[in-house]
Amino acid sequence: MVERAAIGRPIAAIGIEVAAVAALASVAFLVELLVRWSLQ
Amino acid sequence: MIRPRRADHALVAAYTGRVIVGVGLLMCIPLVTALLFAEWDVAVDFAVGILASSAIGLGLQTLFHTRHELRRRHGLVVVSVAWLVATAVGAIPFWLSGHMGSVIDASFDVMSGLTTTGLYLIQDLDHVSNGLNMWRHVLTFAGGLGIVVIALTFLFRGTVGAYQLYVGEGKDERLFPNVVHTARAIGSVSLTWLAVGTTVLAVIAFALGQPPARAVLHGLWLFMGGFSTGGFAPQSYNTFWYHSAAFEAACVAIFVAGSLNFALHWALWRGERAEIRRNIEVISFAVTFSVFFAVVSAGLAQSGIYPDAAVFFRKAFYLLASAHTTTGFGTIYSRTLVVQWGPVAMMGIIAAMVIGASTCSTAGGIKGFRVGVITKVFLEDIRRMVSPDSAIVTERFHHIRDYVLQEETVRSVLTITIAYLTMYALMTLIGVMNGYPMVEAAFEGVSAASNTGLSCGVLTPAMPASMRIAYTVAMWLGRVEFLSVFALVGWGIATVRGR
Repeated sequence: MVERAAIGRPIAAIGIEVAAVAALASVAFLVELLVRWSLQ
Repeated sequence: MIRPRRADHALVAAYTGRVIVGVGLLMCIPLVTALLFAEWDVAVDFAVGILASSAIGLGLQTLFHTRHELRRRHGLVVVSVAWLVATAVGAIPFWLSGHMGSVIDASFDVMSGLTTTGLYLIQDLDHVSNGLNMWRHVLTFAGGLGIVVIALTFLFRGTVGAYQLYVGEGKDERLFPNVVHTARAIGSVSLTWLAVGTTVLAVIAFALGQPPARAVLHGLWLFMGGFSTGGFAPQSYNTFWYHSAAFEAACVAIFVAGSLNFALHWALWRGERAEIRRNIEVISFAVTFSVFFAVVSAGLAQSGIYPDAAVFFRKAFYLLASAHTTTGFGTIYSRTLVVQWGPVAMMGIIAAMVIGASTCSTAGGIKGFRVGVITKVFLEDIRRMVSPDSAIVTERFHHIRDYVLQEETVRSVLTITIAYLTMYALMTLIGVMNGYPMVEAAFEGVSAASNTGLSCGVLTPAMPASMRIAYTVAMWLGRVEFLSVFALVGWGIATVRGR
């Protein structure tokens, strides 16, 4: 029972999830730079 | 305490039989793989496994034929028993392959696969047949979705009591009022990701120089190991073997997606894009991930192992994402954690494994939802302290829709959280009692109990049998979130002492 309206959106959903991972990676990279800089 | 009657036992046996038939059907996939690659001995191993599961499954259904519907206590016991019997029959091809040191090791690897843990005791992994490798990865993919979810999709059409089976596997979200439709929606999301993820990984593997057939197999297996947050890979160096930043980036996207709640996936499928930034589990994951990344970064900066910022980030982000989603993929040697990363970075990884990712996903651990709710309880208490006595203080959270924090939710969250923390402590204690250093015992014990599968080198076939059995039980308890196993224990006690 998959709603008809939902069928056209899976690729967009995957795109949003991948973008969320990229955003998390960006934040993590900033955290890394901050930690390394503060421990120098 | 009501003693279960013969009809109750018959009901459990009959439904367990159905799930075991489902396990036998799954074995047809590695059987076909073995035949395609002319691995005749391996095909015979799987034929034996299929015959055994068919005989047990159909035998149970014939002997205990029933028209009664499942109730809650039956459903939970069916899940527990089905996982144990599935582990036993699933171990047959492993044992017959000659790659396992003992029946305990074969059962360990199957339980590790089904529970999406990813620890393994299989020997000479780099020379395992395509058929057996397919079975390892099918096990972990099926376990990630839930073997009962798969059975619900194909074998339980229209069964009212099927919801009890679904709940018993640690999944309690209803994407639709009908649980069979919910199971099919979960299947739709997973199969869409399977098509996209396998294609991407296979193309990268092909670009890295693998022959087409091997690239497709590796793409499929790595997808199954990643999306299920299982962590199985077809070689002992795991994903380190590929030495490819593109491959690692694709793997991270896949295993993070696997760690998201299926209800969140479904909300995005319905076009509710704001859910990704409003959901309590996503917020909880982002916050704890950032905190633990700071801890791991501090540990690695102290050790000075990665002077280059890009290499530092690539190693740390991949391993922490793998740990926090309870996947277990790695791009470093096991002992590197102990001899080069050091205790601070290891503690950051352990903390991530303790929490894990989302409820109703393929991930393990305490889960971000529970951490989010506990945080809300703290905030509510603080607000009460600073508010006038007459003020009514409530906390809200968003998970698909808005909720007001209720005592009932808090009670359920705290019960499961305490159970997890107790199990983590016990697993650490067992490791220390067997002579392993504290941090290593904690790392490996938490990894097993949270269904992560990262190893710092404690787990080997030479490890004491008692520890291998304890790890197997911990993986089982962690995956079904205790309730089903407690129900089985209660069932046993009621059978003996009930009235």
